[in-house]
Amino acid sequence: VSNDLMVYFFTEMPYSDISDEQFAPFPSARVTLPNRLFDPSIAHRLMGEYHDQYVWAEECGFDGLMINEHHSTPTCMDVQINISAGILARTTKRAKILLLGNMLPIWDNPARLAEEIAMVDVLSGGRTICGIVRGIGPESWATNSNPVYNRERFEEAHDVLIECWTTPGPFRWEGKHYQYRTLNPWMLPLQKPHPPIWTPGTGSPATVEWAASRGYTYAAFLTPLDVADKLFSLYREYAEQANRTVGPDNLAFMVNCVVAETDDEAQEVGKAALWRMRHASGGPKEYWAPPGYVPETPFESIGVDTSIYKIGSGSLVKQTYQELQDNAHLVVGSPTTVARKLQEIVERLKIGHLLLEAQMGTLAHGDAMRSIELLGKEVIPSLKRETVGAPSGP
Amino acid sequence: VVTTRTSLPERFIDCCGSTVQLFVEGSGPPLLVLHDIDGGFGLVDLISDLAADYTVYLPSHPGFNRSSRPEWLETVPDLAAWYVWFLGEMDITPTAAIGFSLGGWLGAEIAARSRGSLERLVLVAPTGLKPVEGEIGDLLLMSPAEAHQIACSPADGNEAYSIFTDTDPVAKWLTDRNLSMTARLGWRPFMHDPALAGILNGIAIPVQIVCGANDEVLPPNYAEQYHALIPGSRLSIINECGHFPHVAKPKELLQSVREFLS
Repeated sequence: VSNDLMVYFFTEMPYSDISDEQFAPFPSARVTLPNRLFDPSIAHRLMGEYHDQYVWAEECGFDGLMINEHHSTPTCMDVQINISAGILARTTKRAKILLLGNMLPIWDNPARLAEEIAMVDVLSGGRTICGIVRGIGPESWATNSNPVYNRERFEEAHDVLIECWTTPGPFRWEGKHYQYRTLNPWMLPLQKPHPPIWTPGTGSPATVEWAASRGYTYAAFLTPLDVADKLFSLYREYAEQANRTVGPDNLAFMVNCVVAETDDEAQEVGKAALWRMRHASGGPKEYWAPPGYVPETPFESIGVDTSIYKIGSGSLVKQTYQELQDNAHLVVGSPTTVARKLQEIVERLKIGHLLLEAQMGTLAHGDAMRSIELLGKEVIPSLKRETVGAPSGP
Repeated sequence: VVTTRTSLPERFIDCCGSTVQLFVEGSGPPLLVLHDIDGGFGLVDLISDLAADYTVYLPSHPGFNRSSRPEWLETVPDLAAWYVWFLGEMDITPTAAIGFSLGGWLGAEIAARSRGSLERLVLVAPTGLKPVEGEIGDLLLMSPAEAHQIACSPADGNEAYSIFTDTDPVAKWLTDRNLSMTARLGWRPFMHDPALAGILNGIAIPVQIVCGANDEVLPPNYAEQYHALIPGSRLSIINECGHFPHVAKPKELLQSVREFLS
């Protein structure tokens, strides 16, 4: 028995005031959905509610608050997580602030990113976790960042971040994508040598290898449990090759979660998640896999399917409400039911970090606040009390 | 796509930092064919016809089809530098050349940046210039069906141009690779070189620009823009023809090219 399991509250801050009928004429909720459908006064109300929910989540007992970033889509209004993190740094006191994450390839000046994260770490008293991501395919369109350079820029921008935080300035950087004549960021993180680094994935083995070889925490996002199993065992293999030990702290898993007093009530309220499942991951291949985003495979391997999981396969879009629950993308129920289901997930995957997307889709503010309260006051204590094995070893 | 459809003799040669896939056909003076983002789809008939009078060279550009990409090659001017090297290695400098769309842009870069590499040049629906009006059509953001639709003038039966809709695994692999290299060369700024308008004026060889009257990929008056910038150039517009004259109007194109080259 251990109480090391960390549980996080997360919302993509959706602009949920778009109906299925409004979505219907357009190929995707990303990239080209016309922004005339956006009403800033509605966004003002919703973002206020989401920030109230983060503060409430900390009060109710969540260990961490997770934020993320996307562009050109109503599925996520947070367009700059460092701004959100700066707000949470002052509206909360204790919880970790998990930025998952800054999409490195879209930054033309990663040294400024190093400064911003350092500033948030200073403001928050060393509570930040620095998640970094490649960004999904649609971000290449939204930011006109060349998908061919996505991985190269991810890796080089990461190196610039680490150098900024660990090399005494001033120093020079002459890379392929980034060049600096004199780097000397005044603002440095409170956590030494730097905040913990995480990276998420949905199936690319290259990302798993990259994270494992550096000892960075790897978060599986909304994958089926068997895929998460494969990704985590790959992580263990790569870590072993790099002579690194793997503990629960290295592994995180994200699910959607809605709690109400009774199972029946929760099943009704939880349908709000369908908006998120239907719209967040659908759309044409050319949006999700722009040319060069998916690394080239050798000519000899034509016809050989080596992928663990199809990125942008749209499987979440097609699953019924029940299937989403059966496949552990969505956990819905009374506190007792949800605690049991989450416990199964934590014990099976041996994760140290459970990321709960507990505000999603069209979930009303009142329902979200109640769900957060039940999670924080009943489910999380029960999970920490009952969960065996996960936090203390592989 | 070239490798699966061609009956041209193919060979691989190590040249200028790349293992390059090269098709050579015919006899006579050299004629370099510079292919488009599709890797040269639909060029076989035209090349066979021209091979009666010329030794036709069709390399797959480094990074396209089965040609490897040297690590330093990231832009169309880089590719032009590669071609200057390649032509010297093949000992065919100066050569006549014909370029299609991206290949037209490339031909213009070679001619403008290396006086003496080419002796005559045909640009078929070339990209590469920043448009004065409108924008270059973004085939990369279109669905396969949309791209297919504007690829050729509907009047000419666009079934012939199927690279976006072909489901054969080898064709798909080649298209993925070719579009990936296209993104490397032309993602930003999109399919043009800001310097090109400034250097076209230095071209001192005969140049003919051929464009379809119904080209939906290039913006209005784009061929005219090229024509105005290249001293002494000829402009020929083919009626009822889209962005791919070699697919839509092969006879008219062949006649126009033959006339100009001879």
